[in-house]
Amino acid sequence: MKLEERLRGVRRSPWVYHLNSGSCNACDIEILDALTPFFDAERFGVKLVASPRHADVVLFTGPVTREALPKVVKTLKAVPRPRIVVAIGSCAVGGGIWWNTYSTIGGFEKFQGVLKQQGVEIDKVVYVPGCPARPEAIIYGLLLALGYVKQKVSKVVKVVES
Amino acid sequence: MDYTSLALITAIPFLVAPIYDSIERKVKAAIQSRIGPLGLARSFLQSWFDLIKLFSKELVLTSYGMALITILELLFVSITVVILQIFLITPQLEWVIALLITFLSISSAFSLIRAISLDNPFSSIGAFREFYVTLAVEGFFLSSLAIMLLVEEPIIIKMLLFCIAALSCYVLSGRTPFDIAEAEPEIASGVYIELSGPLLATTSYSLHIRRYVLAEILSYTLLKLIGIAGTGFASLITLLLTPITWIVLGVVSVMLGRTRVDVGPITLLKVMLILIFLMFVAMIFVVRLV
Ligand code: SF4
Repeated sequence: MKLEERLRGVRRSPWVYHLNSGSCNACDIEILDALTPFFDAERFGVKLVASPRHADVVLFTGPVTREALPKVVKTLKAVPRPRIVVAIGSCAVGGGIWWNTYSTIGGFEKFQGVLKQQGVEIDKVVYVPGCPARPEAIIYGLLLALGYVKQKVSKVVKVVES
Repeated sequence: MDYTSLALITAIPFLVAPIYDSIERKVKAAIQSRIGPLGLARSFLQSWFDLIKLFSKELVLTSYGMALITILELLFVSITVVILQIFLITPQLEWVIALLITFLSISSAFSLIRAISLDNPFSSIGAFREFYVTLAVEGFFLSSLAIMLLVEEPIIIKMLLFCIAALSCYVLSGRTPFDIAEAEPEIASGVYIELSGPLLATTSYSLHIRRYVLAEILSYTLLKLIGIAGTGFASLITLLLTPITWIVLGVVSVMLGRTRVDVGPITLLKVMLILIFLMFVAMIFVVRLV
């Protein structure tokens, strides 16, 4: 079955799993906020699950510390395919304030290299920047991953010559 | 009754159980000032969408034995619900009642076996809790149900039996605070921790059907208490009352959402023992009066 077809099933009932890879906890609080009755993510069928085996979407926070690395790999391995990851917060997007430090991998982009080495395939990744990311942005990122909304920004990097 | 109607009546629970669950979610959302699953389709079919999605997911199998037990659990719950529907059509047949009670106990035994067959420490904790809750109610439930369905007793005893049956139905349906075997964030889904994809869907479907069985039994015992059970019309009323009972149980679970889960089972055991004691007292009075 093609990825798009498999994602269509997940679209109607995305079960999310919250995975902290060493964040400062502010992004995690925002995730919990996004799942409270105020934002009512259950409107889209979202359900917070406690086991990675039940998850469709992993709400990923933190820059991946070296200490957490093996556990995070193991957890993502436990998620059945198709695996979707929403990397939340500047730390998860590119290392954030921990960029280039000795004790972190430096965000999900770099971490994907490690995952590839371990044979863990990630089917779709969406990045939600912010320090911390706002609950509205988290829900938007989730809907983007599920294909409910279109991506607004392009991936073009512009370098300004001085 | 012709075969088409019989097939229709036995098929009803398999189709409507996830729909009732979706409606329960919507009602719970309304109580919590939320919208809940959005739109007409989601309001009625969200649990079906969940099951369909789980069936399409990858299956990560940790043991073949667990897969077999999960399938057998669904099989026995399905047999129980079919017998229950036959009982609704022919409530005067006593062997159907005996069969119903036997299969009710077999299907709950299978859910206990599934719980202990998982090789995971969190699952073991959940299984232990499931044993505790089941031991606190199962015996009382089956015996009170058997007495209620087989013997005509005075109203006071009937009322006490109904209280035991209602309490047991609530507890066995795995709603708050008696979902401690699962206890989501605390022990990472406990007895469900290793289940994934189609296997999780099978277990969830078994739970929906089990909830249907309990809601229908509770509806029937309510009619029995009022004294209108046993007719074709009463069977129809039971079928119509089942979703209402299901939702009432869901509403009670919202009301009990803030109770302490750790004292739940022991409080339940105390309440059960008090009810049994009251029933014995009532029985002695009735015998003396006769
Ligand atoms: S992005 Fe900011 S708020 Fe989020 S975990 Fe990193 S430092 Fe904390």
